[in-house]
Amino acid sequence: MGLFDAFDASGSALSAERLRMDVTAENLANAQSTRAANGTGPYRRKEVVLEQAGSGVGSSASFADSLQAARGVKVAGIVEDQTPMRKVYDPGHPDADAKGYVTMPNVNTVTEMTDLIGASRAYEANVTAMQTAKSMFTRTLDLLK
Amino acid sequence: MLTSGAEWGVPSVDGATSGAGAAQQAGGGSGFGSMLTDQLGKLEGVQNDAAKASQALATGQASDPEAVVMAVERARLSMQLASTLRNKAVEAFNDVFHTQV
Repeated sequence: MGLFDAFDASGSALSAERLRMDVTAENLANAQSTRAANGTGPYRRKEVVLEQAGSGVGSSASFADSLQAARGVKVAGIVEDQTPMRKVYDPGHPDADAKGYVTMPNVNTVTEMTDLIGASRAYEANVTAMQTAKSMFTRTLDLLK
Repeated sequence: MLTSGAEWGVPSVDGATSGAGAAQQAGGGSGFGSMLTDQLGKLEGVQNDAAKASQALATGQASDPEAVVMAVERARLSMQLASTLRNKAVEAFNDVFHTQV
């Protein structure tokens, strides 16, 4: 473990949580979008997939070894939620089908709000971890004074 | 006298190395001296990274504010570590210097 590994781990988590917040904001913004940017039907809810960063961590490796190879978290990708779309009866809508139903995005505002709270709290937790690492380092330096 | 002439010479590392001379003199030993010079070189790199990152943030080119904060914080802590070690070394040097003979 290097001097600033705790910072690097927390820092990568901060970036990851910010991305989660960005994606949630995008979902909320497009909760009523009946047309996606790629032109294929309504907007589909996006989700961030996170994975542990670092390589060479075999299942036989001890926890200390895997910690040594660990470099925080990284974003594996942003995937689309495949749950079915909502159908809303609105015959006046330009995107309504022959029966008058409009296919709305599979975005649930309540889920997005809880995701937002989760991302915010996780961000807070990582900031606290970083602050603790910093104060531990400073305390160690104080030994020399 | 343990320290020979060669060990007193500090290869110049641009910028923030004004304290290096005193620190190396106090520490003595070529191993410690070269280690110190190495570390000061790295310290300068870290400081430059922080300066670049802050500038990018100030001019609106930084897309990742966390990276900027991390760079600045890393630079601050590295500087703190270096200056504490330097002060300690100078203190030790002064202790030797003020020895009654």
